[in-house]
Amino acid sequence: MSAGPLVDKIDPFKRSPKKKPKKSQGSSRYHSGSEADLQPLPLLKADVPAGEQEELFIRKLRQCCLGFDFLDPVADLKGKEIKRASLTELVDYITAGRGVLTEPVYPEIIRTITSNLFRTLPPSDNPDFDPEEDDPTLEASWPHLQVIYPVDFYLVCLFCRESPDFQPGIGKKVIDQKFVLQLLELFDSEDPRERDFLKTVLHRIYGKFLGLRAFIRKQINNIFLRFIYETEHFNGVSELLEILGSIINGFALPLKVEHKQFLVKVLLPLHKVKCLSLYHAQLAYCVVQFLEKDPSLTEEVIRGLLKYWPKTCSQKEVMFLGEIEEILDVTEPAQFIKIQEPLFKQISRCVSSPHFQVAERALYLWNNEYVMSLIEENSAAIMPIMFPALYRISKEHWNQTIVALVYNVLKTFMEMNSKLFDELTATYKTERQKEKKKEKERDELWRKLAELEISHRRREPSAKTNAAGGVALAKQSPPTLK
Amino acid sequence: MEVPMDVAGGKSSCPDVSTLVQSLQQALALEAKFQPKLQLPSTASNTGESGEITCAMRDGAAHVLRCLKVWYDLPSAVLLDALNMMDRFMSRMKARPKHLSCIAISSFHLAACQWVVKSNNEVSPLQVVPEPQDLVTISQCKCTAGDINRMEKIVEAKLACLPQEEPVTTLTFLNLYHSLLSTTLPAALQPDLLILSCKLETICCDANYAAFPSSLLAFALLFVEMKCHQPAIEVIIRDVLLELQRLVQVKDDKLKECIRMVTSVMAPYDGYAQSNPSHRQRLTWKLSRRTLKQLRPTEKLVNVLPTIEENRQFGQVQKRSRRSRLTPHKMRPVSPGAVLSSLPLPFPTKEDLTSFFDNFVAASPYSFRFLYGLEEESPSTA
Repeated sequence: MSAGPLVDKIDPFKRSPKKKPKKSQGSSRYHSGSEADLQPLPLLKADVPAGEQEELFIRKLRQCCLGFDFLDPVADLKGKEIKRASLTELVDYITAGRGVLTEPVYPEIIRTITSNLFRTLPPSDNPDFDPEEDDPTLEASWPHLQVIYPVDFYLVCLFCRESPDFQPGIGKKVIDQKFVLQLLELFDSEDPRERDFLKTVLHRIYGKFLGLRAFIRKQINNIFLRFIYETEHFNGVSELLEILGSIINGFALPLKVEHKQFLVKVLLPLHKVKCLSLYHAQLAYCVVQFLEKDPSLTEEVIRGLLKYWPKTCSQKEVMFLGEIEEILDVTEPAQFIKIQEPLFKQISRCVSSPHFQVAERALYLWNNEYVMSLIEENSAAIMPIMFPALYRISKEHWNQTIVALVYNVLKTFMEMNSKLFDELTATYKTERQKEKKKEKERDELWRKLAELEISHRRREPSAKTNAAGGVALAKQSPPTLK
Repeated sequence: MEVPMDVAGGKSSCPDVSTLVQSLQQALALEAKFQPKLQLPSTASNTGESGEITCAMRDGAAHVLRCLKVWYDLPSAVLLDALNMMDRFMSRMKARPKHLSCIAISSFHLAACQWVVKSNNEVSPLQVVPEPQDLVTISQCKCTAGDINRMEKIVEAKLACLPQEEPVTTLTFLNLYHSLLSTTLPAALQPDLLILSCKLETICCDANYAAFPSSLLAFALLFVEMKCHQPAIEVIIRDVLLELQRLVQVKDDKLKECIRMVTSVMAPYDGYAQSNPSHRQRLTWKLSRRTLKQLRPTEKLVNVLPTIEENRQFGQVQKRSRRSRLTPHKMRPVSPGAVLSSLPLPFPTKEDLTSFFDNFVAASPYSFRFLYGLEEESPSTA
């Protein structure tokens, strides 16, 4: 282009040839610069008199509250290293000795943790982040977080444990709803390592603090509902679902109404979000765990899945089919009968799909022995639904793999119930013949109409108008069909 | 030559009937030539390549041909001709099991060719003979199209068939009987030929059929099928059948035996007994690689967090967590978080934590990229 760089700037289609280098996610705190550099404090283990140990401990904790700017890798290297060393040392100190966790120390520890962990997550550097394609943006301050998270986890464990070292109930004061809320907000981090730690911490908190359980569940519900119906963006769905999986696995029977509502109002609608592939494994696991707990939910689950069945996205359709197979694996025969008709109507539509992967995955269901046994018991109901689609595809599909799979399915049907198979073949053929006959008659009618018009035109030359011609034509009796 | 009495009243179209009877006599004369004499063992005496073809194997091949007949939209005649050729071939030649599918497919192809040539002479829609390669692919038999062509020539030579000669099978007799019955019985009492043909196919897929002459077998089927009517009409039907029996020269005791065989074979078909699983084909399910990669969603689960019981604290109860049918595959390295959560209770010791830190924290940053399928993290991003 002769116009040069100016045109390039306003040309929306021209992309820069080199990809923008990925910036690490910065923390939203800024190094104020006014605070002095960290002075290295004496080691805790060294000969420090007992009375002073607590004070030194607290000073070190406060020192570790200082934030650093990780956007610039070379800034304040010394300070960062001091902090990191301190953190590691603190953990050693906590785990080593007894009696170090005195009451004045708790708030300090919590403050260190919260000041390091709890931060507003910065807006995403890359709003078009495609989780499947792009690398996740990693948290810049990870070297410190890497140490903080285990400390956090350790402390949560400590607070859960009853020990003579500290009074019970301290945990409840410290790990409260506000703490949990902030923890949950962090799940939106783009760094998978951070989410992994968060998941472990939250799992332990849920496990130990019975009083917080209802609150945690409610908050997770809110996050999911916001995700489904408002933003369709949240990075921590799969981690939260993993935690839920372990919770569902431990449900007591009979299931509470609240849990069943959760399944229908939250878990099933999670299937309709566009980025399902990110968390489908965990979601399917949760759904199947529910059904293992209470098989009477099968009908609702399958009807829900059929309601949200993807109409335009074939990748999602393949995922749904995989999930259906997992569900059928745990379906009881009595439940199967309730959903077989709508389910197999959808499967026969999938089998006829021109997208070969969808058809393939649907046909592969017949390779599952348990599903086959369910189908065989109910072949009288299922075969008539599947047969027309299968027979038609055997002649028409473009993909040879699909045709081979259709043969497998038809052969299986023939072995299952030969009589019904023969009847369906005969019915299909007679129906096809009827259709062909109708087509022929239709063509015949059009031909006769055309002839009538021609003969009419010949009789009435161009002097008459079209309207009159139309009236004249209507007066004649239409050709009758035998 | 006897002409059957006109029982139902109305005009008897004598010329038609006499033609039919003539055809019947001709068929009876040729019957012995086309009768297979299967002497297959019912169980496998020795397995492997040197073994013999058993009844079950033959039945399996017959069922494959039956499915192919439906697949290619061919009439029953093709199937029965194919079975007839296959069985006559195996009566004369001792074939090995590995050749069975080849023999079956070549007989089928031969029968299809014969039928297409015959039907294209009449006024009917043009049918196309299925290609050997197509047959081989669809039926999953482990031979090539070239094998089929060679085997066809061998079969033709062994059976000494003339190119346009159609074998006289049970279907031939069934058609003749049906035509004869339709000249005497009113339309309401006539059996449905299509249904009868399907049932005949099922019978011929069972190796025991060869023990009886074709004419007897077709008659026995008619006898069994036309039994279910009201007593008044049954008398009429019985009389007609008796006439037919006399014409075909069927002995009572033989008939009884045949009827027993027919009933036992038809029982699974009509739903009165379990179908025999021995003739089920072992099918191969070929999938594309893309589909194989993501068959089940929970395959991707690396590991699962420990269960939290609803009304108890985590770790209080010592019982094992519920084993579900889903056991996620542990294929990938474990994340630090998972290690942490799996640390023993009541509490991790200092040693546990120290080793944890040594492995995951102290050294170069943990390569999470490996966990998530990304490449190794370079130290400069730390």
